[in-house]
Parts: sequence; structure tokens; C-alpha cells
Amino acid sequence: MDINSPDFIARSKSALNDANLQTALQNLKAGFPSKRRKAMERMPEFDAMRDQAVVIKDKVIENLDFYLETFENKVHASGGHVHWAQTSDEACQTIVDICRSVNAKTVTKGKSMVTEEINLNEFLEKHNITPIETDLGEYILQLRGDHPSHIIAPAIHLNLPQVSDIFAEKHNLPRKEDPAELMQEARDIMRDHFIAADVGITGANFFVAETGSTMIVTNEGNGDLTQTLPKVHIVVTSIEKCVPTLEDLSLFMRLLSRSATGQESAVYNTLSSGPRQTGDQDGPEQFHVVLVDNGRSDMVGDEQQDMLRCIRCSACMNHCPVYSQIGGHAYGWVYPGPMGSVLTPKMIGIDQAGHLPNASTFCGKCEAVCPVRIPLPKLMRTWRERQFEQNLGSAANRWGIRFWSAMVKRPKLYHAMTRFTMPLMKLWAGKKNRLHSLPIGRGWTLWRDLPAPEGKTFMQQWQAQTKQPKQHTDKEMQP
Amino acid sequence: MSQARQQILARIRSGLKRGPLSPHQQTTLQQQLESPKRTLQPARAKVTGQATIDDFKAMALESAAELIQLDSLDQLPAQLAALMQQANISQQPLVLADESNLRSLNWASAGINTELRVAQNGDAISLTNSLCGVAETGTLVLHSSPNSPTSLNFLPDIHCLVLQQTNIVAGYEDAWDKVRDGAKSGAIPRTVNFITGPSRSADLEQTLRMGAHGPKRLVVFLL
Repeated sequence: MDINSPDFIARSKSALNDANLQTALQNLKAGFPSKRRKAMERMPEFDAMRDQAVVIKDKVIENLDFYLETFENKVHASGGHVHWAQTSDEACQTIVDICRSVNAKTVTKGKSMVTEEINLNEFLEKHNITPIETDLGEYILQLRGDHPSHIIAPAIHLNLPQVSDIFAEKHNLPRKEDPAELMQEARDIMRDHFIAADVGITGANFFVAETGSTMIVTNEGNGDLTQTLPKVHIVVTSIEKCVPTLEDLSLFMRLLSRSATGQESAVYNTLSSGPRQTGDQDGPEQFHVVLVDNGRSDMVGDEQQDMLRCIRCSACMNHCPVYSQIGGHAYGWVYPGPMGSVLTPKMIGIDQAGHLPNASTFCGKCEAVCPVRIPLPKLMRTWRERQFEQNLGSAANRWGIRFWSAMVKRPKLYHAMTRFTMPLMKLWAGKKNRLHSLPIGRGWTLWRDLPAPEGKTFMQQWQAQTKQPKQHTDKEMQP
Repeated sequence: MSQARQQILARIRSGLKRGPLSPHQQTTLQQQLESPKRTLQPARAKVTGQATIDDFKAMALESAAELIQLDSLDQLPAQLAALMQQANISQQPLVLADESNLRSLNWASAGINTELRVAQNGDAISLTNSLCGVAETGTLVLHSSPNSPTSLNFLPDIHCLVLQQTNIVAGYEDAWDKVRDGAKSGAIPRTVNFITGPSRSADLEQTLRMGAHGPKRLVVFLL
């Protein structure tokens, strides 16, 4: 996927003016957050489970080398192969090599954000291998030459008529409007692909060190057909998705579905270990796991380490006031929303992704709903600091920060300044007590007026208040 | 790519400001993997007795699975014949897992043509056993074996399965224990499926709709 994050501001403006997108985003606002809340209410232990999840994930990262090597040994023992890839290119090349070794012409793909991250489809096509996305949302996007705008609901930016149009055009069938008929059409067409594919590629929501297994969590069943019918199953996943044992996995299964879609459980939680076993009549003859790093190992021991706990549930973006206004494409790369604003700068560079950690009101909702309690606002702030240290961002912004920092470090000057400007603002505002324009606040006043300050500054009021009660108390204390 | 492996591990260790774990630390972690401890389980995953069965039924129904209670397995052919007639697929074969309890039933008397094989494109209906049911979410647990190909759980339009009530457990951890017990010889099965209801998708306008790529109906025969 091309990197468009530097154009974040222009992209978010056009997103706000995109009527189709705004209609589609209404579905998000009405859907996931309330479903998640209902699931929480039915699980009184949820918060305690989140604490437990933090402990487990932190332990995994603290011993990640051990767990990865153990996982590798277990996969080997079950007859599978593990491939390590430092970069997207290494990962893609590994996958193409496996495909070529079995003369693969077509591969079916289950939904996987890591394969989006490494740009796998483009790489496969360049090598004359046809990738077919089998998840309904991903399939619609592939037909449109589009990319996911959400990590679990990839086509969330589309409305039904857009799906009707693209199906009619690409399938050469009468246009259908009924969602059930559209789904049946996709199902019928996909059947032949499932059967014909030489290789099936899936992601993994988790992998388990104890057993050398990978797990996918899905609703449609496409991932299962993708990994059961072809001769070769390739799992593409990233190094931090490890959990130690099946017991730990149980905890994460409970957290993931509820945090993501608000379901008590996704329909299919499937554990895969190695290739088909002696006597098995179906299942792949080869099992490969590609462990992608892509900058993650640099996050170990780093200020961003907490981000490695992420289980990609999407709760942060589902609850984000910024995401829900502009959708995922505005962010300009694979991972949108708060989790993307932390992860993307790591993967494509803060010079490219500088707008993303700034595209947050720091309302804290993302952290409040995160099942693994990632301090997302804090991590975004860390990126803002790095951005400043590296002399990135606009000059106006940087001078603004310098000025602000100089002021807040000198409380007396700061208080004098506020005492001085407040009456000026009130005067400027006139009788209506509202400011229609500000010299450095045009972004605000273009859309709304700023209420003028009334009376005294906070500090003046605070000082007055802290004095008064004390006098009261003194009087009351007198006999 | 072993160079990639070395470099990834080296970066992780350098981030953690240490070399490889000592043999003692590795042994400790290894022992924890070999005798896994349960983490915090919600109360719902620890119910006992009749509550296990009641919870399973309620949650399975909520997931849109269909439940049919049987007094004995002998009733199954007649029940399935009725179901197939209703679905207008009486002429289609019932693709059967090669399990002795299923194979030995009198299918011919119910007018059902069975085939013991993997699933194929176009199959209307399959029948398998299940390892266990899980009460906390109404989940069915199945695994691959020479007798029970995984494709039976996904390709046909209707997936029927037999579940012994005595095999309903409270939580996921109990189900994993059963998977491990069945794999005493060593490796766990290639595929373990936790299935909760029939296939669905929310990709069209964020509304969950049934009948995506997997079975459109999940029918559980409870014994």
C-alpha cells in the first residue's frame, strides 16, 4: 500500500466532505461501541482479565527470544516450517519462494493486516501469482482496487450500493441490491477459488509457544476454507502475536471478540498445528509460518514497547472521535486510528507519519477501552516529542511549542501574561462576548466562535477561593 | 533466512539489555509451558452440574445454532431425514464422518444416502461428532482426524453434529484439556475448531448477516 500519511490533513478534509463516507461511518458509531459495552456488562471480570492480559503480554515481550525459539521448535516437531523475515521484502520473497516451489498459480487469502503491511498482493502479482482475497470485505476491496480502512471491518467506508455496483461490473451478473443475495453471489464465486487454489495464506491472531500452533479468529469461515483445502498453508504473522500456553490463549479469546465486535465469541476460533497428520484425508501437506519483524524488535526495550501488547481488536479506533469523523483512509497507510498513530511512525518513519500522533484530542477513550491497557495517548505524545527533537513539523508549530514551553516554565511570567491578555480578549470580543477571529487561532474560529473569557483568570479565582474558606474556618473555630 | 533469525533475536536481546536467557531461566519458563496454569477465569467458565448444560444450550441458541434433543442415537436417521426433507435436499447425499457410532446407524431405513469422504463443492449437508461443547459461549469443539476431515465442518451448507451432554464442559480451558488428553501420543491434532454458531459476516454495512462462506446452518443433536 502506498504511503499517503504526509497528506493526512488534505485527506481528512476531503473525508469530512465525502457524503458516502460520512453515511458509512454512521454505521460504525451506531454499531461496535454499544455492542462492546453490552458484552462488558455480561462479563463482570472483564477488567480483571485485562490486567491479567497485560501481565501475560509483558512477560512474553520480556522473554520474547525464548518464546519465539520454543515456538519454532514446536512447529518443526509437528512437521512445519518457520521462516524469519526482518523486512517486508524478505517476507514477500519467502512467500513467493514457497509458492514457486509448488508451481502455484493462484493463492487464496484469509484476512490479514500483516500481509497488507508487507504489501504482499502486489508482490505476488509481480511474480505472476494471483492472490484472491476471500474475506467478503477484503474481496469487495480487491475488486475495487481499494484498501482496508479498518483493521477488522475493512470495507467499513463503503455503502451497499457501491458493493452492488462493483459486483455487477466485475461478475458480469444482474445488479443485486439485497444484502443476502450479494453475499450468496460472493459465496458462489468464492467456492471455485477455494477449490482451485494451490496455496492458502492466512494471518494469525495469536500463536502459541506451548504447542507450536497458530490461531485465526473469524466469522465467515473463509479463513478455514483457505487453510484447509490447498496443498500448502502459509501463516503470515508478526513476532509479537505470541502467547505462552493454551490457557493464556483462552483469556485472549475472551478479550478479543468482545473488544472487537462485541460478540460473546467469534464464530470460528481455529487452532492449526503443522501439516495434515498420518491418515488425515484433508488439510494442507505443508505448513509454513512466516514471522515478520518489520521494526517490532526495535520496539523491545523502547518507549513504545507497550504497543507490542496490541491484539488488533480495533476497539481504540471504534471509540475514537477522530477516526469516526474521517475514517481510516485519511491516515494514509495500513493501520488507522490511535493504534496506527503509534505503530505507523515506527514502520514508515516519523518524518512521513508526523501528522498521525498529532491527530488526537487525547480524550483518552482509546486507552480506556484497550483490552491490553496500552497507554495510547502517552505513546502518541512520545512521538510528538521525537518529532520536535528531530526538527520535524511546521515552523509555526515548533515556534509555538517553544513559546509555550518558555511560558509554562516561568509561572510568574505566565500568570502575568494571562492576567494581561484576558481583559484584552474580553474587549476584543465586544458585547456578544464571542471572538469571531483570532490572530493565531484561525483553525478554530473558521468554524465556530470562541467564547471570550469572563472575569478573572483561573489562578486569580483559585487564590481568592483558597483564602476565603480558610477565613471561614478560622472564624468557626473560634470558641 | 537464518541470518534474519539471528538478527531479530539479537535485536530483541539488545532491547532487553541482556544476552540469551541462562539455562536456569530457560528451564523455569519451559516448565511453565509444560505444566500450564490457568489464568483468571470468569465465573461463567467455572459452572458445574446442570448449569453447564443449561448455559451451553442458552448460549448455543444465542449464537443461532439449532439444538435437537435425542433420547438415543437410533433416532438420528429419522430426525435427519425430516430435516433434509424440510430443506428440500432429500436427494442429496449426507456426507458422513467415518466414525463408528455414526456409520453403524440404519441410514437406509430412513432413505438417506450416506457417503464417507471429505467434503466437496456442492455438498448440501454433513454430519460429524464433536469432542465437546463449551458452556461459557455455547461453542462446539471439533478436531481433525483420519475419521473426521475438517472440510466437513466448513464446505457443506448445513453442518450437523452429535454432542453427548456428558461432554459439555464449562470453560475453554476444560476443552483444551480434552484436546490434550486425546493427544497423549504427542502432537495435538492438525486442526482444532472452536465453532460458535453458523457462518456470518458484518462486512455489508456493519450488520451481521448469516450465511457467509461457511455453513449456513449449524445443527446440534444433543444426546
